[in-house]
Amino acid sequence: MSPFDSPLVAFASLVTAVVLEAAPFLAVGALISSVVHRWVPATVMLRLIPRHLAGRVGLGLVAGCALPTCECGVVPVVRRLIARGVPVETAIAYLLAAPVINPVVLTSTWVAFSSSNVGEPLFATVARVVLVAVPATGVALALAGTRSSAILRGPVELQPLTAPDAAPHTAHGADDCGCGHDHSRGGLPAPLAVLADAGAEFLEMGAWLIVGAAASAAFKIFVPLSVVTDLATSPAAAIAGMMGLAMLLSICSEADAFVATSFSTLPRMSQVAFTAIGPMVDVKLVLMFSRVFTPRVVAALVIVPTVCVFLLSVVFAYLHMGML
Amino acid sequence: MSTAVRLYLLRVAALFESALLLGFGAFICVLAASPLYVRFMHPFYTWLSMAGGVLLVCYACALLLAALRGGYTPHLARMLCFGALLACAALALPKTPGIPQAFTADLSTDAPATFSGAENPAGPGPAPRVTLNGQTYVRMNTAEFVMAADQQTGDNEPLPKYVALRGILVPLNEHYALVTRMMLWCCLADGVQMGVVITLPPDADAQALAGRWVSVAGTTTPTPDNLPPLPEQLGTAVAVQSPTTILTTHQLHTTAPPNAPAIFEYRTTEPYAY
Repeated sequence: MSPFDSPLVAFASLVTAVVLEAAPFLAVGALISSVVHRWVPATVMLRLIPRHLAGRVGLGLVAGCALPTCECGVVPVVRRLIARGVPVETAIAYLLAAPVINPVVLTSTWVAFSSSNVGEPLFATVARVVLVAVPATGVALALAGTRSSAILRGPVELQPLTAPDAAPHTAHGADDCGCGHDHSRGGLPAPLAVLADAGAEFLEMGAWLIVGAAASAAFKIFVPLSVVTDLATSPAAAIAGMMGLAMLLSICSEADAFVATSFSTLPRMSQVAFTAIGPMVDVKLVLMFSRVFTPRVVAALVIVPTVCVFLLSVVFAYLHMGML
Repeated sequence: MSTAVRLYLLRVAALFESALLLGFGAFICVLAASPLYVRFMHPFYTWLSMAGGVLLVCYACALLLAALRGGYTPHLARMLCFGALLACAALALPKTPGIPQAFTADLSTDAPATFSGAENPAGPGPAPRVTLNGQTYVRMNTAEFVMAADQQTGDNEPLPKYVALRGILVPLNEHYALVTRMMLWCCLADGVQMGVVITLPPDADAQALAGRWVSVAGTTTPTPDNLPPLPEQLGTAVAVQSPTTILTTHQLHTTAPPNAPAIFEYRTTEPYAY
């Protein structure tokens, strides 16, 4: 018995809902990306970035506290930051950590785990932060020092911060740089050009968001939930099953803790693993990553968090027997 | 094809792609301002969608200006994606999951249940309790029931003995049924079906009631051992029911769907959101 009139209507409703939910965040992310591109001087960005590697990674991990965003909105921002010469380790740490390590999501995690029979909201919230921070740090360190051109896919305009006087990339009047933008925007005044840039960015990333939302909706409608939950024959299998489910459902990081705690019959640590992996790796994100990053980086962004979250969750589960 | 014609077509395509973005932004704004919004999103996020829609309209206007001046290169794949999205939205709008055709999003005027017992005619919505045949029942929604049943410790009030619920009825067999409502945390994608197993009165026609909105009042009782298996999917990826407690039905009626059929709020103390 389904409340939907037909599978097709259910599919259409879910696709619309996912895009509707993500669109404001993606729109803001595109605007930030555009503003960074055109108006933030390289000298300002240089001043903000620590000199030490640990500081640069740490800045990326906690930057979400200053700029909360969801996993969709952060992708265009990170692309622009890397293209502008922000150290890769800072940008990648921000990419993976910001959707979880921010006040909005941490509060929702606390509330969700308080209001279910899972309990122990402090443990769940801290565990979620650790499960995200460790792989984010790992990927960031692995890619530290890599040239921006080896990170970003395709021909991308690069403005290294080591050239602080570099002018914003607005000089040419056609798409001849290969980055997909006409940076003069037909000679529009600067504020309008920023908006037009943001619109172009939204269209580009939004298309991948739509494809990802469609894939996720198809899974929800046409694949029985038992395909995943039947795997939960042991704590480790439950963790793996819930991680797979999080990747396929593509739920926003601000709401996923509530959905995770709905699986009240599954081991508790598997619920935390669900909330940790989803904001870093899911269907729509992988598609968006594949548009922005090189295949090797995409592989690292998928494999490292997946392995780290699984192993850490199993360790946490066995160390903290109450979570089993 | 001459260069001039190709440039002309490119400009038309750029204008069309910008218009698609304009249409999408306008769609979000109109939807956020309409009662249909709750078909897709929690009403708490209306302001966020409205702001996002306005932002997209601004982007689209700037992009239109850029396209008019030849300052934007269109992409066919993007146009197809956004065209498909608008088609999905059009397909989703006429009918809605678990939500009736005619309703308003005004939660304060939630349609009362059709119990013949005492209602609170002065109040904006259903009274927190209803009295039927001399017995008073606490009104809760299915999410509140499930959470109260599963969390009998802490600050929560204990699950009342006499409870009234409403939701869509899903027969399990001739003796049991599930009363279920979808709970939205943020958007339809994270919708969770919150169901409560009830006993069916001997005279109830389970098949006739299937899929209909019902109001049910009864006594909370421990889950029996012989409970039939629950349906695997109820239109959402996740379905939850209380594993410990069911409702032994005293009265069951069909009822009009509430104004906001999905659950957007749950409370841990009376008066419950119902």
